Amino acid sequence: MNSRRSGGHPRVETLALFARGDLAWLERRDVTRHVRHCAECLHELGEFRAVVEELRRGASAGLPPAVESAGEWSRIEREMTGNINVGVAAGRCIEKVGVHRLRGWRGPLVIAGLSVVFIAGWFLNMPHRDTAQILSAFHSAWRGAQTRNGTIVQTTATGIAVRTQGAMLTLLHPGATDVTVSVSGTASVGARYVDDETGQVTITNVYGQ
Amino acid sequence: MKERSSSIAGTQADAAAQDAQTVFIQQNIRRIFLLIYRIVGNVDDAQDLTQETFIKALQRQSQLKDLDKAAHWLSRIASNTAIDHLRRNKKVSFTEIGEAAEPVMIAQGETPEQLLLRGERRRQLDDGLAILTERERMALLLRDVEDVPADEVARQMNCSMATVRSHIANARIKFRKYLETRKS
Repeated sequence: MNSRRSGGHPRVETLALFARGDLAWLERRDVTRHVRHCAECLHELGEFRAVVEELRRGASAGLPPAVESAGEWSRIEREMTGNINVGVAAGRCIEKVGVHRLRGWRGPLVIAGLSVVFIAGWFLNMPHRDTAQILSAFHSAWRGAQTRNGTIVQTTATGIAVRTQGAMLTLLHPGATDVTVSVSGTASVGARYVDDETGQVTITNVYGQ
Repeated sequence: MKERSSSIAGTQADAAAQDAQTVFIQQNIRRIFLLIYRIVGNVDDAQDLTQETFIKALQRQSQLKDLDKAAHWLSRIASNTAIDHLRRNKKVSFTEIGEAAEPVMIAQGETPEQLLLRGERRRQLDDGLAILTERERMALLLRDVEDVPADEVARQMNCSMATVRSHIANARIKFRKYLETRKS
C-alpha cells in the first residue's frame, strides 16, 4: 500500500492509524519523522485523537435511553444475573449426567471406537516400510515362541538329542571316550570322538530347524 | 463424622464459588451489555447475548489462567457471540436507538445541563456508529472503546491485520467526517 499522498504527506488512512499507534514499525517510523516538521499533518493527527476521545466520552455516557429509566436497568440486570446463574447451573447438571452415562456401557464403547480409529489411522498413515518392519518383528517374535515350544537340540551323557513336539531322537555314541562336544550359534551341536572298537574317528553334527 | 465435615467443606467451597461468580457478573455485566448493544444495536438482543456470553465464560472459566486478563477474555467472548449473532441474522437495525423515547432521568448529583450533555454525547455516538458498516463498527469499538490491541481485534474478527487496519482507518475517517458535519 502506498502510504504517501501528493506533496509527500502521509495518506489520511495512514494518519488515522498512526493516531493510536496502529501502524507497522517501518511506516510508524516514517510518519513520526514527517510529523515532526509538518504542522498540517500534526493538526490532522490531533483531529483523529479528538475523534477517539469523543468516542470514549460517548461510550461512557451511560446506558441506552430504553433501559436508563428509573429501575429499568436494575430490573434488567437482576433478570440477566438470574438467567446466567440458572444457565450455568443447568450446564453443570448436564456435565454431571454426561459423566455418569460414560461410566456405564458407553465408556468401553468409546474406548473400543477410539482404538479402531487409532489402529486404522496407524496403518493408513505410517510409511509402508515402517509398518512392514513392525509386522516382521511381530512375526519373528511369534516364530521364536513357536521354536521354543517346538525343536530343541541338546547334548546328553549318551549322545546328542533332538526334541520336537514332545518326541525325542538321540544320536548315541556309546562306549566312546574323550568326546569333544561343540555348540554353534547356528543352532547346531556337534560331537567328535574315537570309536573304541573300530578305532575310527566319528564326527556327528545335528542341526535344529 | 469425617464424611459430614467434608460435606460441610464442600458446601462452603460451593458458596464461595457462587459468591465469586456473582461478583464477576456484577463487575462486568454493564460493560459487556453496552459493548454488545453497540454492536447489535438493540436492547433485547443485547440482553440475550449478554446472558449467553456470561454463561459461556463461566462454563469455560477453567481456561482462564490469568485473572488480570479476565476483562479482555470476556470482551472477546462477547464480541464473538455478537459476531455470530450478526452472521445468523445478517441484517442489523439501528433505528431502535433513534426512535426510542428518551426518559427524563437525572442521576444523583447531576445538573440538567450535565444530563443534556450526556444524552447528546450518547446520541452522537449511536448516530456515528450507525453510519459505519458492521465490521468497521466492531473494529472501532474493540480498538478505541474497549482498547483491545489491533492484532487481538484481527484475531477476534477472524481476519488479517491488513483488513482490520483498513476497517479501523475507514471507521475513524467516517466518524471524524460525521462529527465535522454535525458541528457545522
